[in-house]
Amino acid sequence: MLGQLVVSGVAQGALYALAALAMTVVYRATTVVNFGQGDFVMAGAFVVYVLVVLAGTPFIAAGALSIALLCAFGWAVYRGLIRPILAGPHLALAMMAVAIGYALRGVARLLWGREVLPFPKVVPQGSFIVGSTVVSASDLVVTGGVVVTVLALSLVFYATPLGKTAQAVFQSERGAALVGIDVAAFQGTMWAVAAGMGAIAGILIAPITLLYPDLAAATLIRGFAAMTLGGFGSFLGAAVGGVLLGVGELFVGAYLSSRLIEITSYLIIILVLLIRPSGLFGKKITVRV
Amino acid sequence: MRIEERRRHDAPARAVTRPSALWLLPLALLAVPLVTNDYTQYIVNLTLVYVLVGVGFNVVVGNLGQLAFANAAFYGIGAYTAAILLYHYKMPLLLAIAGAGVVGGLAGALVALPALRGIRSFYLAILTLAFGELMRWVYINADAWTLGSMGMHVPRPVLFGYVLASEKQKFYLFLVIVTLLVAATANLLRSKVGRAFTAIRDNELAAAAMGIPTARYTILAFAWSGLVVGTAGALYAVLVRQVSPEAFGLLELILHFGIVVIGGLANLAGSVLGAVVLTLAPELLRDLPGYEELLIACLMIAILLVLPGGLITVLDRLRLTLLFRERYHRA
Amino acid sequence: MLWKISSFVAVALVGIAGPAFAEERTGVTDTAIKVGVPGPLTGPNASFGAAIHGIQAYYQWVNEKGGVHGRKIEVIVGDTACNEARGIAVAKKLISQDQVFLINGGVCSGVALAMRPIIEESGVPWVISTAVNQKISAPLAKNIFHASQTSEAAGHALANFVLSKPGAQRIGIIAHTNEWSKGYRDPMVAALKERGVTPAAEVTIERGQSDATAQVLRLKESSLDFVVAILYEPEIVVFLRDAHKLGLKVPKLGALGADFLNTEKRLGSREPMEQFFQLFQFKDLMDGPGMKEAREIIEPRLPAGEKVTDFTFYGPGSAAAIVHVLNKIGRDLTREKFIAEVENLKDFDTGMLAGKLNYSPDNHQGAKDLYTIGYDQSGKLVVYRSWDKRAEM
Repeated sequence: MLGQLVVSGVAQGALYALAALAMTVVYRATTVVNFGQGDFVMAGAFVVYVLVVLAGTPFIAAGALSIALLCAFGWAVYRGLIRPILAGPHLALAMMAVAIGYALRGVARLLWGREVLPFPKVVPQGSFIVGSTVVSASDLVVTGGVVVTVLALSLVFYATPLGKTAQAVFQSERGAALVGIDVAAFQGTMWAVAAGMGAIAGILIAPITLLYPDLAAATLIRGFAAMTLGGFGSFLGAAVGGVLLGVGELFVGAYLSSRLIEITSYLIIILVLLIRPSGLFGKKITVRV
Repeated sequence: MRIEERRRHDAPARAVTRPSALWLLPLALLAVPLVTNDYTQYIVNLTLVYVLVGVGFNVVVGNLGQLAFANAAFYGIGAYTAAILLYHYKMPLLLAIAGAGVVGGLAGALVALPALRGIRSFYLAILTLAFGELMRWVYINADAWTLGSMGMHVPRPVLFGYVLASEKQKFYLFLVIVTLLVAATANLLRSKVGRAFTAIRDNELAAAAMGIPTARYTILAFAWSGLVVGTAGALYAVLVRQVSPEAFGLLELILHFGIVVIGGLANLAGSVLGAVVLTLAPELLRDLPGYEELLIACLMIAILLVLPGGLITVLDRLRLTLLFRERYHRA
Repeated sequence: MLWKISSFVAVALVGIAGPAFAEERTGVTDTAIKVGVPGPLTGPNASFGAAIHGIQAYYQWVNEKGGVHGRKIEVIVGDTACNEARGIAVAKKLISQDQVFLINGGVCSGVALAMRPIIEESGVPWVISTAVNQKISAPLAKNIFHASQTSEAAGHALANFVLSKPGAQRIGIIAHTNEWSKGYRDPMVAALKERGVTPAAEVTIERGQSDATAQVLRLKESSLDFVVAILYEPEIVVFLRDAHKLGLKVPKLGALGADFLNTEKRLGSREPMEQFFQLFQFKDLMDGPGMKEAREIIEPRLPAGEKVTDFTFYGPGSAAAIVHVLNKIGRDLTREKFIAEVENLKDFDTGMLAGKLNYSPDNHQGAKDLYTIGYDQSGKLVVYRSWDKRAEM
């Protein structure tokens, strides 16, 4: 049983990690926590559905198109809705993110609210057994998808000019602007990346959860828990936190009670923030005057 | 002329929140039951409940400026406290409502503690969101008291021996309670404490440096918010008479966001306006089912972008324009 | 804002200046009978609102045939969004503002429970179309009738089916923590206890969860003979998928929260559906002869683009009963007569629901029959009365 819990937990946790990573990207680039990230995930999945089921696009193309569309959407959201109020109070930014997510959900509900839609089949159904542990193809695809995304991001971050820009802006936004980096364009790109990651998460989640407007409500809180556990602003932390959370939930459900699965993420958030707010890998939080 | 113009520029847009204007409203409202039927009276009562929700939320989120997203939690705590006191302990109505307020206030003080320890901004937001969802889990699982997910049925409200059977009867009780709490909040905000909230919001370190006891006032703001919103929850329990966990989750919280943002942050009259708009919206948009979520979201986005003071600023500008015209004519 | 408030007040004024009919005949005019239909058209549970559209389609068909004794059925729909506060607003609006003759609807149990005191006090007859919780209609209220199978009946049906499997002793349960699941679970556990059986394992899964590994593993550990899965459709799919993947090879029984064939479509293959049964509230399979007439009535009259699911037919059965009763009464229609005539209704075949509706002055819960469906050994979809007995169609 232990092995099974770990394997399934890692697959689940990979999804949480993806959500946490996307939110960390946005947070590092603009110090905004995107409360609407869950709904980006949902939107990405819905776009694929529309393309595949209604327009007959082959799945891979639809997936790529969805990612591209969500990237454009993320960029537009940043330029049109976030940047104008970026200098203002955090409250307004949080509310704006909430409202954007709520608007996406409103559109989805308007169009498809009355049904739970089947998602086009992506993955072969099979599974194989290692010892006494069952690993399903879907587990592999999800984990693999997330690992590939993380590797790609790391590659970009460390080995490309964009990555250098990112490092510069993360270290000091002011300093980066002073040396001539177009911070606004960079931040827009980061929001685009985060939205694209949301699309990827949606494409990976939707075959499992099926498609409905409130799809991502659970993912959002778990993404927060992963970020909190791993340490706000730390990419490694987001990934590790996500996996730990996924495995942790299954352990709690199997060994303690399935009733406690839901509050694992809430308790992690509350306990970590009260006891060690910087989480596992985060920097100490300083309050700027 | 020029002197008057300057005064007009300097006069803060507080006109609508001046004492005389605010007291007029409840007096006018006394006449409402004359023109309503059971349904419209119920909507008025529900609006009153949400006025309290908005007013309470605004104290912490608008005036104090903290991202404390525990409002749905306070609402639920108040509702469940009142339901438990009325159902299990058969307490008198006013005592149960007061009890809900007290427990709400205590919950508020509790939530203030992380804020005091330096948990701010998005961290506080996430913490309080988690707290709210944790409370929902408690409602479902503490079923010895809360009867779990079936929800609690609240017995008929009885005030000094009279059964409050109709919406019109409930209205008078609600009106008194809401007016008292809103007036008290207005007093609080206008006092030095209220000004301290704003000082803390704008620059906490500077406020502390000026001698404002920031910790004490932060707890006070949170506790007051919890008290007001907890009382709103109690009124909800009396109004709907069915208290269940599903009603106090994230979707409810988004409604509360809508009230304070659309009405006007840090503006008492704005909370009232926001409550009216958001309670009436589903009723007025009845023929366009499904659009309401989208419209509220878009309205919030629009206001955050171009009208950050909320819709109340439109009313204030209207009043100032009328004032201007009046003075112009007089001159 | 001001004009909105004044227009709202104007509407309220009009509301009270309604016609001064005697209460008994409220909602009845020379040409129309007003029927209020509350249900969730928006919000997270909007998919269950398909029942409301089914009801609307049925009344539309009745009107096309000339109505009831020269009167058309005027349907007034109220969107509750599965929210108690909104549900009460809808109920009060239907009663005090629209002044309907009767109410036919109610889908979300929690909302229906909140509406009950209001509707009971008003005296407006209410025929519950879909909501399952038996507390909505019990203790008996003079004007409230349950036309869908109650949670009490469903709980007994679950227990009966499970225990009809020879040798079934160790029963496991996986359910949501919401009131819908509890509404099935509690009567089922009570019925099991009556037969000397206590559940051997109970696990929960929240709505929106995409993984049931922990729950399935716990159930596997308990050496069960049967698992009852009181879940909505997305979670049933997750559970069946994970049960199949992890080798939970016991028979499973689901409640009335999912469309059987849709579930199979979402799983993508037959294997996870083997040994999966589900409570079935209809008189025949959807493509069977028994449902043909109902489908011809309802399906062409649904809103454009609406997908037909089991839930579409989970409301109009009550409408059929209502129309039958209205026809029997004739032109001189009062609420009192309506209530009396429903209490007289015996052995009524709704054309959709399993079994027949039976009422009396002491019994307002008319639908007690429930079948079960599942695949038999040869892979054919069959309607069962119990583990070994098929239903005669």
